[in-house]
Amino acid sequence: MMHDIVMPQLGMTMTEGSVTQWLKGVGDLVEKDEPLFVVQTDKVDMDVESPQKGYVAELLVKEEIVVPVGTVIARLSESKQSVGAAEEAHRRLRVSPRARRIARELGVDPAALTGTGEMGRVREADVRAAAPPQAPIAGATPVVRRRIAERMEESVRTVPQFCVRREVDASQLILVREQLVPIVEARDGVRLSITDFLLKALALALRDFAGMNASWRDDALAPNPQINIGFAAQSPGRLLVPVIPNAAQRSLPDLARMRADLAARAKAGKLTPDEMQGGSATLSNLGAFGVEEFDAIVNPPQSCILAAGRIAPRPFVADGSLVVRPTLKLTLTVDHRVADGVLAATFLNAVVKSIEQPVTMLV
Amino acid sequence: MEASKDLALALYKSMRRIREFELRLQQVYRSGAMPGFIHLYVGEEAVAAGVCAHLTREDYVTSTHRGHGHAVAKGVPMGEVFAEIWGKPRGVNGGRGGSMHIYDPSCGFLGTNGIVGAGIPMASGAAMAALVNATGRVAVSFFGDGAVNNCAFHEGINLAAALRLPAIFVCENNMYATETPFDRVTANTNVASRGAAYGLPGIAVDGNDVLEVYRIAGEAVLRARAGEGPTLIECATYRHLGHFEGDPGTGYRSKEEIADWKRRDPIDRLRYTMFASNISSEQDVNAADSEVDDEIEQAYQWAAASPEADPATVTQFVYA
Amino acid sequence: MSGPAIVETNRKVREIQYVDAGVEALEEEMRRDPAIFYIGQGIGKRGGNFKQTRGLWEQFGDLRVRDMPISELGQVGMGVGAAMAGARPVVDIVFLDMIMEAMGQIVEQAATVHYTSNGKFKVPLVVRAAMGSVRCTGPHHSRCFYSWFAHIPGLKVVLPASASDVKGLMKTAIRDDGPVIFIEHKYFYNKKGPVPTGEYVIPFGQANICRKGKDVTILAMSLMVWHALEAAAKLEQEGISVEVIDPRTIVPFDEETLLASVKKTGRLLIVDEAQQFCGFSAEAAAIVSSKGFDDLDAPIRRLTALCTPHPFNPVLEAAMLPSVESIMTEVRLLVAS
Repeated sequence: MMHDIVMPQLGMTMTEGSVTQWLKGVGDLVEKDEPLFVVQTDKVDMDVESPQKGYVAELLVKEEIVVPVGTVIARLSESKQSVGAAEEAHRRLRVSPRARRIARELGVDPAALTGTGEMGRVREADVRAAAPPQAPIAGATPVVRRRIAERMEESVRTVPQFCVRREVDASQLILVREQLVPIVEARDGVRLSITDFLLKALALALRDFAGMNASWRDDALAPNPQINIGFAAQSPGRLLVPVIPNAAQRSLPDLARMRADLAARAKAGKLTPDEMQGGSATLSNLGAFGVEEFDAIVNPPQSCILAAGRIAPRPFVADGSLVVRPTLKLTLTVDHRVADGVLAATFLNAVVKSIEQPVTMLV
Repeated sequence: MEASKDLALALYKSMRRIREFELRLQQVYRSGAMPGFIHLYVGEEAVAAGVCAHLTREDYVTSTHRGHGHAVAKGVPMGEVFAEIWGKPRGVNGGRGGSMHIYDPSCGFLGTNGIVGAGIPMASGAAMAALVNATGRVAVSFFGDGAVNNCAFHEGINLAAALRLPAIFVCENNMYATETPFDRVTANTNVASRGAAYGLPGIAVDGNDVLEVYRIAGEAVLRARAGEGPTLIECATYRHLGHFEGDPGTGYRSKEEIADWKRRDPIDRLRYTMFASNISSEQDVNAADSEVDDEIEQAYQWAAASPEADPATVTQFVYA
Repeated sequence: MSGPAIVETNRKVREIQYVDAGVEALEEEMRRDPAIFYIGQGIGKRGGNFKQTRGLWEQFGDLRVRDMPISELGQVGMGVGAAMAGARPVVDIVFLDMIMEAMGQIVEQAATVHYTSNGKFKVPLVVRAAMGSVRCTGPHHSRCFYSWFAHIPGLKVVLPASASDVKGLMKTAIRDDGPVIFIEHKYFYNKKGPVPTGEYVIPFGQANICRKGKDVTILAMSLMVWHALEAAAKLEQEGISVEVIDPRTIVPFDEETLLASVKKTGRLLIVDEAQQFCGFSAEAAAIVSSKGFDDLDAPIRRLTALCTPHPFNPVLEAAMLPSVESIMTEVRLLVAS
């Protein structure tokens, strides 16, 4: 048997109030007339006693949230058994149908949101607040475009950037990948891509060149606490850069799994803000689009961004002869405040070395 | 009353038509071919025939759950009535109404009715419309002894009398409402005497003497047309069969009583009168019988040949 | 408190009593069509309990404006028969509660004839009555069971809530070829409202958005429209923008306007003076929760009379019925949920 506890009317003029403090937690026993919560009205803070004895089954309103008098703010259960069930029910996601529809349209995951409706219900306003900016009218500049424009502008305006380039013989990379793909697919259920190798190479280089694993912030060089690699994930109308944390410590299959999951969720618009923060460097691979090479723009506050073009058979000089090899053109754009030419070059060389000898990335 | 040969034969045919129609219906119903349930008029033909003989095509009639006789006497095409009772699309109402909901505006037939007494105030209304639209028409309400204790009787008849409406109220007192004897549930069983209570003439008639019914009804219709207001006519009659087809009618009525009333069969009585008074010959009567038999046969065949209803029509005509 | 503002018009508009708007409609129609006649208790020389037929008897006489005995069944039965026989009767039951005596004729006869006769007979009958409570009219003179008629196929149900609407809807009711139950609220009769001059009709099935808003939709019937408008004006001060919809006709019901409004606001409150259980508010809620499911940002709320007969005592009656204050409370709860 459940009992509703409502926001009481503590005075003739009171129409709304907030719980400033819950004096009991879910599962606690409260006696009849024992204070259960503290209410703040426009005049005073008052203890409110529980009208009956029971176990707190649900606390439906967070502290400080203002609700009208009469709103159900908590539920008591006569028996302790039902508390568990009530907790379950409360943890059960409540989303209004309208919010669900809009969440679908905007690519937001309602499960990740805190609802401001009764009983914690996620409502339209909650979804809209969490959504990445959307284009409301056809023809107007989408907000997301504006955001990207702002960031790019900021980067070019404030970050002194320069590029270093290498063309890499990718034949070993292709060979090793070919060997590993079926094994990893069978064992780990994930398909290794060129990007995964590049991510690993970049991560290892950051490990070996701590000087590159830093950010220029507030006029000072600050080392990054971790090696987190972002990678550019394209989805219609927007560019998101999800970040793989601790990339250097991850095996290739692990990196592949994370990369695939983050890319899929980026496409569906289900990334959380946390998942796009804290990158040390970014990999942008436009090889699939046929681009030979390109100069990417640093993603502040990261130290550098590695741009990869397509692997293609190209004329290559090996041991003094002209041969045709599959090569990969890399361009590293670097924040000059963090690194000079020499660091940039040696850093890029380290990346290249990993690519030329991929087996070294396996150990 | 004295009757001419034409009148007598017309009344005879009218009654016989109803009788044979009902008996043929009974046959088909018993064969299991008909849905629903039917209440047969056998034995009461003189009332419908005698009253409707005075009505024009445009005059109005409201009827009861035992109304096939009224429909036929008023001129609703028999084949369409048969098909309607049979629930077929050829029925006058597309089979949607069946026995107790037969409606035909082309001859002022405002419906048989499943609600006892409902037709009484409706007839008053039709009579009022005749005044408002100045059409000179009259409205007849047929009802049984079962209706006279109902609100509808009280209100409908008082209204007709108070407003001097061109209406005629015909009570077919067959002494039983379903299986309840009239005198068991009524203190004043003299229906005609109720007329005085409402301020309109109340006349009792031998409902199985079609010539008497014809005479009294004629006076009442004239009165109505002349603007002298309504009349209540109580016709003492009897149904030979049960309340509905399937009820033997003997559970609550004695065999003697039934036999006694059958001896006063209205059709036999007219035939006797016609022969006894030399109004018409056996030959004429046989010819009339033949004609009626053919009519019934045609009606039956036509109804039987009706195609089945189209389910897609179920939602038509909910709103006008 | 006043009713919905007039629907936009470029005609000249004058302020007249609601009851006179009805009289105008009747006069104009009865002059236009001699088949129309009007019956009911006290509607003749006396001009009706609420003066709702003032002057008609003088104009049209006994034949077409006829006082009736207290015989609701008989009156409506006559209406049915007359309508089937080519007249166009209006039967005035005066108090909706009294219509119970005539339910058989309404349900089994009037509503059914057109369908059962396979379209051969029409029943162009208007049955008129006033519902609702006005300062303790008590248990036998206050009911609002209009939803019962809405439940019967074949009947149209009209609930005008303003002077301009009663005129336009009354004309449509009389011109309708089927049975129409025309239910007014006693409270309205002596209230004034703007009514356009000249001939106009308001079609059935066209709701009136009497106040536009964007946060909450209120669907209200009859007198509750007035309460809702007053509540909405007050809620505006609190920053809550309320849209008020008056359906005008329950059958046919304008779903589209309601659904479009809920699509905009996401929140619906239904305010009805009738009881909640199996009342029309339940039907409206069912329609929106199924057809407008993805537009609801909060559960639908219904504010109705309590599930009791009407008490005579004013304190008890006030506790039983919706009020401007209780509407405001419901809206606030709706916004918070």
